[in-house]
Amino acid sequence: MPTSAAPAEPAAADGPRAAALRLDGVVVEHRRGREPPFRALDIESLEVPPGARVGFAGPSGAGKSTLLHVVAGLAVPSTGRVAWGDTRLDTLGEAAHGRWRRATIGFVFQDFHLVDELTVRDNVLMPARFGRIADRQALHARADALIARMGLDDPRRRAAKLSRGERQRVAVARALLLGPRLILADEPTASLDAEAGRAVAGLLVDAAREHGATLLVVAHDPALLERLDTVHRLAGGRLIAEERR
Amino acid sequence: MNPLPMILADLRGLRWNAVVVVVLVAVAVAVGIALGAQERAFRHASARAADDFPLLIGAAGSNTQLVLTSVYLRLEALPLMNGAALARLGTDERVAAVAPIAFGDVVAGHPVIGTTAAFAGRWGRLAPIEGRMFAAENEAVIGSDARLAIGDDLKPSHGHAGAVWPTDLGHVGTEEAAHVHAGAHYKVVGRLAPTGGPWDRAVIVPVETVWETHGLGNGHAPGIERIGPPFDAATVPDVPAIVVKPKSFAAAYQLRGEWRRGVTQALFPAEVLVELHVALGDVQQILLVASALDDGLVFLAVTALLVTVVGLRRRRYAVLRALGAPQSFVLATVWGAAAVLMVAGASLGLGLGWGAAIAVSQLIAGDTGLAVPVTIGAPEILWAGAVALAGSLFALIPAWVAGRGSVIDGLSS
Repeated sequence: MPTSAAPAEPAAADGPRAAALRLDGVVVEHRRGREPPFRALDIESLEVPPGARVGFAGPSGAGKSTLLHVVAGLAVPSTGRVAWGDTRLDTLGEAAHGRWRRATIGFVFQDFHLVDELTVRDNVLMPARFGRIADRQALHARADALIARMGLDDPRRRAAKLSRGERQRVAVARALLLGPRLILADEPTASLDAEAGRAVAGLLVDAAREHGATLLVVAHDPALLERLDTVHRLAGGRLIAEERR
Repeated sequence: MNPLPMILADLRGLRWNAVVVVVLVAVAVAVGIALGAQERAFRHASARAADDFPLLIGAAGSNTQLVLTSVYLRLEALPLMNGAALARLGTDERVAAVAPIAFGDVVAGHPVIGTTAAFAGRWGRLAPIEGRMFAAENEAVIGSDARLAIGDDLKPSHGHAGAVWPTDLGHVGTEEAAHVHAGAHYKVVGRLAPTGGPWDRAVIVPVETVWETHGLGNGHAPGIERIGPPFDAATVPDVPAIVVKPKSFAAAYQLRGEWRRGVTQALFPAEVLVELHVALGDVQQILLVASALDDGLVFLAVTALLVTVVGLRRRRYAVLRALGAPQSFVLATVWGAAAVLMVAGASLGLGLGWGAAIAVSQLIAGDTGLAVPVTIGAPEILWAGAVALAGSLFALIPAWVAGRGSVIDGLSS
């Protein structure tokens, strides 16, 4: 029986822009030398409706991050089917997966992964550098609006001079720049204190709602998980429980 | 795709590593530039200095030493040839002009050269820029770089103790002071325009004055006190070198053939220069090969350094790819930063090489009096460009390394 998340509230003015995400029989195995393969992920079935906000929780090694990597196309499943709407992701080549990722995904990492030598604005603009920019002025205006929305006062500050909370807010702004239809967040509040974590969680969830984007979050943080529509528990690479809010 | 901000960020992040890379490449390039520019300038300068010496005749011996002593004033004792040759050449209808050159004295570090007024003025090409040409015995004209002044009364000393450094000119050394010719003196009456050669440091006097200073008479029949040709075949002293200006190419080759037999030698200084340049050219080739090897080693070291840096930045490039950057973006970022360093190093090396060549020119001018004006021309710019291009190709290695590998492994590194 497929495990499904509740549909997202249609908060965006024009409704969810995202597509449904579906994983069927997805297995990811890691091989180390002559040891038997280690099964890092084994998802019988998972369906995430467009615009849903879904969390994945579980102990270390449960397969949470691997699941995000499979969805993002960074990890290739040994078997199974991954689809975003009508697009089969598991059969895309590396270059095509990169293009899809660029057009579809906003990624927020636990360790922010900003470029310290760049300013806040240049970090936020980074995903736009990978392709052709149609309207440079509009893009910069959007970047500055996102930066302001994240409560950052100076877009010209170097990333190296930001606090951890500020860095994660920049990372969220970067993930939202191109209006992603799918936001992937891997432990986005794990390295923040409680207050900063709550702020970032709020920004992330609100932004996903406003953009009508599907949000997939790997988290241990209860404050973040309780803001999501559905939380899946994983253990040993399998989905073992589903909690709907 | 616009990797420029990432390229600048990478360069900023390299900090001192970037400085080290630029300096390494710059030094490697500068060696090649300095060698090439200096060698070319030296060839031009040495050839130009010999322009006023169409045909040199001297006693049989080393042709190289005859040229070095007469043209470049690297004063060594030359075997003397019979002075009657002067009279004979003076009446030869194939000869437009002839002048003896006599050495052996020094004044305040400046070599004293005895010759004719006509040759001192390079047969009409060179005029005094101050004062006038000498017109009588015990008068002297000085080269443009001589640290003497018109009106100075000079007391020559016997010897070849010329100054090594321009700053030593104008000072009487211990050795020079110990060998002053008693009773001999010259009055400076003029300063010649620069020739760009070692003669610019000389004190040039009538050859008769040099002969008389050494008790050899004045080269003219008894009772004749004038200076300059014709000389008296019976009394003219033996001379170390004679400069001949033939009337034509054919005459020049005929004279060279006739005077290079038996006890005399005749040569075009250009011949000796060609031999010297061939020898220099061989050394130059070896040095250029060594310089190219040097560049290759520097590229290897720089490439190894950049590959190491890329390894340390594995996570950064993995993040870019996770955010959707194509491999070409990562490749362009790493290659761009490395190429900027290579081009910066090559450009700096061009300047450094030029500076080094100028510094070596100063040393050569100080040592030889030969003005060696260094210019950076197409060969040097092409060399720097070739190094920058080769360096940019080497830079593809770390760029290729950065674009490869698992993104997940990079994210967790």
